[in-house]
Amino acid sequence: MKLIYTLLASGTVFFILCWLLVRYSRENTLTFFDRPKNVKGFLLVFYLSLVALLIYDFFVHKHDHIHMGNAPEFYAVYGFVSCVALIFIAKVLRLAIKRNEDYYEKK
Amino acid sequence: MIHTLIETGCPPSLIYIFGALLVPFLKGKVKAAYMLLIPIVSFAIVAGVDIHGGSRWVYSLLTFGPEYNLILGRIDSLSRIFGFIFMIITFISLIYAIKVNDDLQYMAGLFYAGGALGVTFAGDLFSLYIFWEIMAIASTFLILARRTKASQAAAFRYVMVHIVGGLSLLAGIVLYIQTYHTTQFSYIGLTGPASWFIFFGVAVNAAVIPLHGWLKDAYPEATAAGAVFLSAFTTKSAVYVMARMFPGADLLIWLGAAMTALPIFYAVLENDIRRVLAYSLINQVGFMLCGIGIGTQLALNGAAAHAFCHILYKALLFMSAGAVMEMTGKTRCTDLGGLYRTMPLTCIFCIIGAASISAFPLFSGFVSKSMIISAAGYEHLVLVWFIFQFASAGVFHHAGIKVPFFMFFGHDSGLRPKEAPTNMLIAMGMAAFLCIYLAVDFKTLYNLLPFPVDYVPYTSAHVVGQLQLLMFGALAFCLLILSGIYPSEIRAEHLDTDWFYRKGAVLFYALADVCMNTINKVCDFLFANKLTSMINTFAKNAPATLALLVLLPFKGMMSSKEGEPSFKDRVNQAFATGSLPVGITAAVTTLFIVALFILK
Repeated sequence: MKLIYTLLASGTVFFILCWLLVRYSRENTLTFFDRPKNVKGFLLVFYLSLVALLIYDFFVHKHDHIHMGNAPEFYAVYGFVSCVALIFIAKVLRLAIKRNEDYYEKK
Repeated sequence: MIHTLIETGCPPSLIYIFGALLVPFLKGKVKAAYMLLIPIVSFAIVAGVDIHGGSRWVYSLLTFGPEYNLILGRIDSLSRIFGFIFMIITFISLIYAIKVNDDLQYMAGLFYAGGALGVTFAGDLFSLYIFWEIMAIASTFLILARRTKASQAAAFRYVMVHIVGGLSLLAGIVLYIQTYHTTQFSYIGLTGPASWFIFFGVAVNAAVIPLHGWLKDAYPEATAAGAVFLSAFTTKSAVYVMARMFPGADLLIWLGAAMTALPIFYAVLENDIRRVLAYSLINQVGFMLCGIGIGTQLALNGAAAHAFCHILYKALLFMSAGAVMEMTGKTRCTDLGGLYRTMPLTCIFCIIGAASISAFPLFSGFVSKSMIISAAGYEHLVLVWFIFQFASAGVFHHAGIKVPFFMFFGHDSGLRPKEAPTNMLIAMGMAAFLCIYLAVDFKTLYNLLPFPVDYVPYTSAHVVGQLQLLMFGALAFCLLILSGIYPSEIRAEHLDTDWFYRKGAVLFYALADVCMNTINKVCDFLFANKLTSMINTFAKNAPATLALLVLLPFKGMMSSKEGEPSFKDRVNQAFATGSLPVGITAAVTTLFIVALFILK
């Protein structure tokens, strides 16, 4: 029963938040990212949070069962490298597997 | 039987399936209320069941021979969590689809969900198989319901693949019952041909690489609501069956690891948003199967928890892509972009789904996927652990950033559609809310799991590690997009394993044509033309030939004179005209009796 009350209460809060967002978006059209200043600000916050994560990493007590996971900044390096690798491998893969859109069924 | 059903409550699968039959007779709001009542009633029934109370709804199948029972209600901690999420997602999907006004989709959806519930609560192999096939057939109609040429073709391929999988499962079940004389649906393990047939059949539904081609082929062709149903049931019921039958199978670890990594490359290249989501679905199922393969309590808990969370956020992502498709008629990245301006709520719900699938802290994927990754770590499966981390970063890359970015941000497509209809927003909102709620109140989820849980997802090391992995993955995306290295979205077809049966079918047809028709011709020549006439001739001349054979020793006594027909001709003539001399007949008869006497 307690679970149902919590669900209902927090659900209502969630929906009110959603409603507020739409209510205060201008004439039902958001233009936030249309202004270059906002995009720059967004990216700045993003970069700052990255730096914060790098710094905070030194103050964390780690006890991963895989030893590599305990190396300083391991996750940051691994996340970045694997995403770059992913893109480059995908680009090479595309050379081999790309066909025309009507490859299976000629229109 | 009806009496016992009322007395003991009705199995949820049957409520769904028989409930669906009434849908076409109702109209308007009554229909809507009636359909939404089906999952609610079923949920209440299952929630009221004591999970330690043994199997319910048992019907005896054969009154002779070994005791084979149909068990429709094996409700324990493993089947209950799958049953719950299947019922929750039917409720949400029905709200999403409530304005579709297409009885075909409603009925197919309810039959399909009923089949999935039947599989989940089945306690024996017969009912498992029956509900398995109901699922395959019903889901096909959700693809057909798009009513386009492409969807018809995709539905045909889809059902063919599932027939192959279903027949393999049936063959396995028959072999299994022959060998072990039991129909119990429980741990089997990979031993012997029966288990391999069953494994193959289940693996087809779980979209295990390389049997995954049907998923990315068919799901993007379904209707908007159909894709939401499809994303929930087929693969996850297969995950459940795997967890029941093959926990701890080493093969699943490696198949699962391959499934987490390989589809990501396709997802990065793919242009159709719903196909990107189909690939990320395979990736997520990979995590679950790997957890089942690891087979420890933590890993199995992780697989079940991940299935629960995954169904919600994957349905949410398919709902938002479906809403965009409904409002704009487009699903390709190349045609979309900048929709956040007019569809802000859909955009936010999509981002919540994307954050959940990427396993951001405070979003549901985080509390479930972490269990599987930690389980791999505890077992010191180093390579698997590294693949998992790679896949986690990759998921964020394609499902977490790419899907919302190319739909709602990115280049401005100039499209200014209206916000999605209210019912769709409510459905998406409910799923989005649950995605966040489960991450915050994770203990509720953990209490539902099959084994007792002693796992804390929110440690500072874990949160920081995960955030670093994701945010630096995002940095890579940012830099690659800004520098123009990121592979541009293009209208193209990327070859996958469905090539083998889509192109292979043509080759198969040609081969079958040559082989079968040659056999046909040879048989026609040999049997129809030659052999029949030979038998005919033989049968016609048999008495004369036999008589000649018997009389051969006495040929000398009856030698013919010059100018008269030979002995052979005379006998033949006598048979032809029916004028056999009495002497010959008597001689043949006597000899025959003597021969019989000697032989005896």
